[in-house]
Parts: sequence; structure tokens; C-alpha cells
Amino acid sequence: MKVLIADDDRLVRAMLGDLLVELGHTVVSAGDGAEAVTLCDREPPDLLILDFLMPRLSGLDALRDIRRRHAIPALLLTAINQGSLRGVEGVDQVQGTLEKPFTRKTVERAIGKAVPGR
Amino acid sequence: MKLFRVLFLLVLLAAVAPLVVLVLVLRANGVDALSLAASAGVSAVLLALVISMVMARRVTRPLDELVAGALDIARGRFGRQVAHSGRTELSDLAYTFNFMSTQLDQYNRDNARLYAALERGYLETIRALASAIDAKDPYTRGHSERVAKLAVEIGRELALDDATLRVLEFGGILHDVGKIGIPEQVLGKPARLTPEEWNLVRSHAAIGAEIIDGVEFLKSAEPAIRHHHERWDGGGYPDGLRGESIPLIARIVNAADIWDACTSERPYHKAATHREGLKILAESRGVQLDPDVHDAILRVLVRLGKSDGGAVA
Repeated sequence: MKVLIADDDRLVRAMLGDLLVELGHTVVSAGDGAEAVTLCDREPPDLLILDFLMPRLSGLDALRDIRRRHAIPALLLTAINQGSLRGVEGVDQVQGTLEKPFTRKTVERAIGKAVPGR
Repeated sequence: MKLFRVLFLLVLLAAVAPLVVLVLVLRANGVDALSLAASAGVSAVLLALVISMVMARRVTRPLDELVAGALDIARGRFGRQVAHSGRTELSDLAYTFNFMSTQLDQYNRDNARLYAALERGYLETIRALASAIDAKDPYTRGHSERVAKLAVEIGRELALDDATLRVLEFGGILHDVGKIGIPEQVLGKPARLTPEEWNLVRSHAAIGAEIIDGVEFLKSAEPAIRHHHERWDGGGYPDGLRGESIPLIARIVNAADIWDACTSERPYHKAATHREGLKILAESRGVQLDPDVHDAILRVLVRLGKSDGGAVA
């Protein structure tokens, strides 16, 4: 399936992108939240993996914008503890989180949770 | 949770280590206190568990709150405050955090205000430019301003975003800026124009686009200026674009321009009544005007009380 990665760190985009391609997915990537929103409108993906802290538009704010037009499952990519994320506005909109640093296994598991049956 | 683990290990160590030393010393002196030490050890572990849990909670709870606050600020929600109580270093941190957040909010508002003032300055400047053009031709006084207002209303009717509405305002004000390059005798000529004069008048769209070409903040309005005389059927100028290939902002400015031109006094015709204006618009629908834009301007005119709706269809 087609996965959209949004992260302001080029290295993270490259690494996660490679991993996803290895897992048999197609990847499009954006450098910030605003770019993710435009990209989503142009070619809607099957899954979003959004970094929380990005310049211009955070992952959750980008997601809120995207969800107005598309119902696409989303994973939040972050280095922040689950516990600290609790209570952050909009965090209930994602289907799961993917903690940094990620491994092949955690990526597979998170995707399996977000898009059951794929 | 991680903090809890560290605390638990530390408290456990502090409680059990002296106990172990005590047991070893007693044993060296021939006293066997193992069973007593075991029960003391169990209570030490339980106590350590409780103490570290309570302590960890007291630290992590305000920390979680601070992290959530910091995340909100990182998302641009300046002014976010976090709850704090007591007089620990953590509440000092929360207190300073709140102050920082308020300051950030203040700076942000200041910036927004400055930006708005700057933009207003821009707008006033281009208004001055536009009235310079209008002044060249007494018949068109106020025309640019009215076209801009109407274009913005049409844009709103078509649910365009704020940025595009702003572009429509600029485009409307400046759509005839190219007339500055056309002699007054031609612009104000009450008689029929010769073909050469016609070509001159028609060149104002391209001239206008060239004039603002070098101005970065007006760039987005350039299509409205260059193409506001294109026709839906492809018979317009300067590029003979047809249908949707004409930029939407140009189609909107075109509609507003037609309405204002035919309902105000011109050297070559008297002002049409609103009823006649509506008829002209209806005849232009799908020929000169984008049908959707035509329908939108009709709704706007009804709203502004210039049409009773349905009188002309």
C-alpha cells in the first residue's frame, strides 16, 4: 500500500522509507506538516506516518486538516513517551504511535495495528 | 515509569544494603539472625516499593504536564499554561514555563500586528496607484475599488480561502493598472475607436501584468490582471484562453468588471439599470463568463439587493 511519511529530518525519512519499501510498500514523503497536507490532497495514501514535532504544522495539526477531507489511518512518529503524550489534544485521532528509534519489527507491528488485515 | 524503576532500585538498595551488612556482621560474631533479617528484608522491599511509587508519581505528574505544555507550544499554541502547586523546583520550572509561554504569545501577537500593519501599508499603496489610474479617466472613478469589492464577494460566494480572497482584492484594484500606458484621448474617446486605437486599449491587460511583474507580493494577482479580458468561449485577449484554462481569479475579476462597467456611466454608453445589467450578465453566461462565476455573481447581487433574483433568467 501507499504510505506517506512526514518528518522534518531527512535521515528519518530515508531510513523509514527504505524500511517500508523493503516491507513492500510504496512511499511518498513530506518535509513538514503543510507539505503533507498538500501531498495528501494530490495523491491520497493508504496510511500516514506523521512526526509530531515539525516546523510550520505539527503532525497532529496536519492530521486534523487532512481528516477534514480524507479518512486515512495514521501513525504518530515520535521520540516522546506514551505517558507524556496522554492528554495532548488530538492524539486520540491516531491509530497508534511509532516510537523513535524504530526497528523493522516495531514498524511492522505499528502498521499491523493501524491497518488491520494488510 | 522509567523514573519509577530507578527510584525503586535506589530506595531498595538504601534499605537492604545495611540489612545485609548487619546480617553478615552478626553471623561473624556467631549470631544467626537470618529469619529476622528475611522478614525485615520483605518489609524493606514493600516500603521501598511504596516510597518510590509515591515519589515517582510526584515527579512524573508535573513533568508530564510540562511535556504536554511544551508540545503545545511547539505546535504554535503560545500562551499555554501548566498547573503547578507547592514550592518544589518543579513548580519553579512550571512557573517559569508559564511566564515564557505568555511572553511567546505576546511576541507572536506583536509580530502578527506588525505584519498586518505592513500589509495594510501595501494595500494603501496599491490603492493610491489604482486611484492614479482612475483619475486619468473621470468616468472610471472608483471603478477599481468597486470591482475589487465585488470580486472578493464573488470569491466568498465560491467559498475560496482567505489567501485567494486577498489576491482577488489586489487583482480587482489593479486590473486596469495597464491603462496608465494608454493615452487619455483614446481612453476617453466618446466616438468609435479605430482598429489601431482598439489594439492600444487591448494592450492594457498585458501592460498591467508587466508593470506588477517585478513586485513580489503582487505576483499572485498577475493572472487576474493579464487575463481579465479573456472570454469563456476563447474569443478574448491577450492570449485567447478558453474555459477553465483562464485562471479562476481572472474569470471572477472579469465578471465584476463587466457588471461595474455596464452599470456605470462611460464615454461610449450611459449607465445601464440594474435590470439591464443583469440581462447583459445573463447573455454573457457561458459565452464570455464562466457559468459558475455568473451564478455566483447573481447570488452576490441578490444579497446586495441589486437583483430581486429570478427577474432576469
